[in-house]
Amino acid sequence: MNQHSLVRVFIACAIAISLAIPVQASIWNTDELPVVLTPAKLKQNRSEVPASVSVIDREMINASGLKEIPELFRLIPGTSVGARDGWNYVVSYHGTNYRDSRRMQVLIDGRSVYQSGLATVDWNDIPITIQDIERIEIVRGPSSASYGANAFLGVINIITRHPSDINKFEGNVLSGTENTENYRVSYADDFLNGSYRITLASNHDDGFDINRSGDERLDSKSSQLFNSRYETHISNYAISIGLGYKSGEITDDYSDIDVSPPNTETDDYYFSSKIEKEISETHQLALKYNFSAQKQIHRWTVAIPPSFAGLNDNPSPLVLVDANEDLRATRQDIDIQDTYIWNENLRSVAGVHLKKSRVSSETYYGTTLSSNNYQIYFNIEKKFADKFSINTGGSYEYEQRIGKTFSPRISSHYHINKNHSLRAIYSEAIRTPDLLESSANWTYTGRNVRPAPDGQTTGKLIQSALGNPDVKPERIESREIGYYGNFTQYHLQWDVKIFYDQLDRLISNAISLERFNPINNGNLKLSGIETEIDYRPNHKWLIHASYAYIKNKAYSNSSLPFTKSTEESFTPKNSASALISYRTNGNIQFSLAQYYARSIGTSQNKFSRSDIKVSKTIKCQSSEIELSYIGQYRHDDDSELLSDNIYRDKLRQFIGINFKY
Amino acid sequence: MIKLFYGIVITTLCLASTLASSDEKIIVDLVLPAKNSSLDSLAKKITDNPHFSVNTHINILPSSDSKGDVLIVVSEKLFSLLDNENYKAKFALYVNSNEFRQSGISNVSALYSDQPLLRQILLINAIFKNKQTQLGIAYKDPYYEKEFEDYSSKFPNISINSKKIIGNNFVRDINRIIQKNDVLLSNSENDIYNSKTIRSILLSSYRHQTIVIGPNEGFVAAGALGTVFSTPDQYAKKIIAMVNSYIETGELPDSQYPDNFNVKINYSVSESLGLSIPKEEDLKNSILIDWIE
Repeated sequence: MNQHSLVRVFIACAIAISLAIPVQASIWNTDELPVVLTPAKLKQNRSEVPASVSVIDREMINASGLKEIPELFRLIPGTSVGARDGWNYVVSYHGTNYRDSRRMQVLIDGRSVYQSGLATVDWNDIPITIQDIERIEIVRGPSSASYGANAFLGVINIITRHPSDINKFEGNVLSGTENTENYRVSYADDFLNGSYRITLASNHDDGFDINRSGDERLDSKSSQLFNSRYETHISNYAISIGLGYKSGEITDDYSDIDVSPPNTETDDYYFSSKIEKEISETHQLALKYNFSAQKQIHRWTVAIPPSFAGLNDNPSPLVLVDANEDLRATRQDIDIQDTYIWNENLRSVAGVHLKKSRVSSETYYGTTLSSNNYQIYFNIEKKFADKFSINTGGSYEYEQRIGKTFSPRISSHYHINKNHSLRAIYSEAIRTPDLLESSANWTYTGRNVRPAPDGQTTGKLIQSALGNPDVKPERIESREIGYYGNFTQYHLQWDVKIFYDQLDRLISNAISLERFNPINNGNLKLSGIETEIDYRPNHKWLIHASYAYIKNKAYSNSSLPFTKSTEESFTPKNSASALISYRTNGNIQFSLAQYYARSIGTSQNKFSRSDIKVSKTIKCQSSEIELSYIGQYRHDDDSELLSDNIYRDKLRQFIGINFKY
Repeated sequence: MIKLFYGIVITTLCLASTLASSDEKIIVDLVLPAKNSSLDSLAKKITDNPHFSVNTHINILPSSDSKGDVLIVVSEKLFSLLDNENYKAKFALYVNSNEFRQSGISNVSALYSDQPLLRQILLINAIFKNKQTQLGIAYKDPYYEKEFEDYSSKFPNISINSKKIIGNNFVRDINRIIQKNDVLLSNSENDIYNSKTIRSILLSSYRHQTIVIGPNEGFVAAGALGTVFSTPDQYAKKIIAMVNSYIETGELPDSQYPDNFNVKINYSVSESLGLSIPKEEDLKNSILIDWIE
């Protein structure tokens, strides 16, 4: 053991001993209770967190009446939410490019669902239901220093319900507009000194009704899923295991050449595990291993002139060809994190993260590609006196395609008192280009060509695209000053921040075969103010409101073609939300939510919607039945995000029944 | 002559000792459940009194030829020793009030190890400064039901949601209470709150930002927000007063909680939960004022 380690062990022992001695000794020492909430386990008070953080908790989820997880983020200031299709939601803090959820890191119980192979978060393929969620923490701001590359604009951290916290049996049914039919059952129990939860669910809806021409949209989604979580404590080890599977099918609109439905079937699997070891009350070590896999089967038939597939000897004016966009992707993550409390004024978190991504697709890559990412990160918090603290951290990453990158963050807090603080934060983050952007070899192989009088039944589409191996990571520099106040006497929390972000080297062009040109040609300036208030005077009332004003300016420093609107159309200048809920003594709950954003989408749309939820809970001994009505009313006549996303009726309605035992 | 002088001195000393023994102190047998520094310190504090003599024993009673007049056993682990009928008076020191009630032991005066629920509710009142608060309590012993009724009328700002626990698989029930209330008040029922259940209860409370008021200091060290407790010194003074009362009146005092107490707060937990908690001494004074009122 080297000298440094010895000193560290000595300090750890001294702190542990000093903390272990009670101020007033017990009368006898024969029945000691374990110290559960050790200093290393306790979270920072929100007034000390080195970032802007918002929380969506279970009460808000219930009160909102929302059925789609991405829609919850309408409650978060400055967060843009839109649907490209009924099954394709995009969530992005401060908006920017609406094409994919590619600039946010999303974690479920610490497992990233960011598909680094395709640089996106596919909200439709996350194998949890909205009822499985206990709480969502949203870090509003670049967080690569803690979460690595791709925590570019922010981080969404979804925490599922602990198996001990839920009823043994739960059943949920929701039915309504657009043929919505959602079913869910869950079972929880104790097992081997721990507890587990199992959820089975089936969801379906038809998506949007019509396009701008009044034609019926084909963008339904259907899925069946299973997820589970097991938690236990063995000695000083906390063990958490998760397993999940989702099988889904989506429909898509026919393009001009499609002759069979271009539907996609997707299977998703995941396994997650976490072991936390309390080495002492001030020292905690956590080891995580996560695995996820996705299998996408997307096969359909098109009618094209044979020359499009290089079949110049085929005399037919049109041939039928079977095409595919099949894809398999896997991701493995190993993370070791060390949390150490050096003394009451100094705390450190450091770790190593290894990520291996693998993606295989004949159409997109022509082969199997893989990438390894290595990350070392650290975060140190130092308090100076009672009033001032500095938090500094950084993440050093290496990826073969990208090279070395470093993302730093530094923040300082002035603590007016323990519940009120002013903060100033500077942070940098990167988004690494995905394998499609850097290594695509994109073309379609047409099989089963018919008719094929020349006997040639296979051809390659002549149109193709190659990735750009020189494409660099997108980069953001963010500056913010903010205030967080927790007025505990009124049960009121208020957060406000002013920010200025500079985004460079953005890969802004559309990721489509016809216009595939992944280059770092975009720049964007974002500035504004956002605020959030949460007021819960008692258990009957819940009031949550948010507002954001964002000024954006996209431009390009390069001479290459750049479309400003690509980076601007998903960032509304003004956006706001309000959620008010009241529960009567008779267990009737009234909730009203209002969501507003303007302008958002490709047609400078307005989004203004009021949601109402009325529910009645009937209790009978140890069981509960909740009957609910949910109505969502659009006040404007605009489409949602894209011009083909239109519901026929302004009012969408749902009826729900929830049972707990 | 010298022999005569020695004889007179010895005779005088014998007479003096005989006279002294006529004003003999009551002898108390103090039985401790184990030997450790904390218990030794407690025994020393009880021994250092001007009213009675104390003989200390570990885990067993003295033999019949050396037994004293009064018996004090420490902790409910020594309840079995209270069956001995050869003492004029018997005291049970630092025993769980719930277990003592349920044991059915009679003719024994107990000084409880826990605090009255009212005192813990006054602590909650002092922490929340008379704000509207939802207080959850899980219990098994129906004895508590009457107490809850009384407190509901005494504290209009505190809404008490009590749940009777049936069976042994109750952690899920307690978690439900934690999720629906601002505070979980854990009482002194060892069946519910013990070293096996404390981890899941405290972790659940922390997940849901619900504060826990524990039945003793050990809970606070483990991660509960706070408790009212009495120190060994306060226990020693009280048991001395109870025994002395018996010596003076010949009547066994009623079983009771310690009069004097302190407040213990886990400020690391309060800080993490974003709670501003007054100083322990201020909370104690607030409780004392309310207690008197």
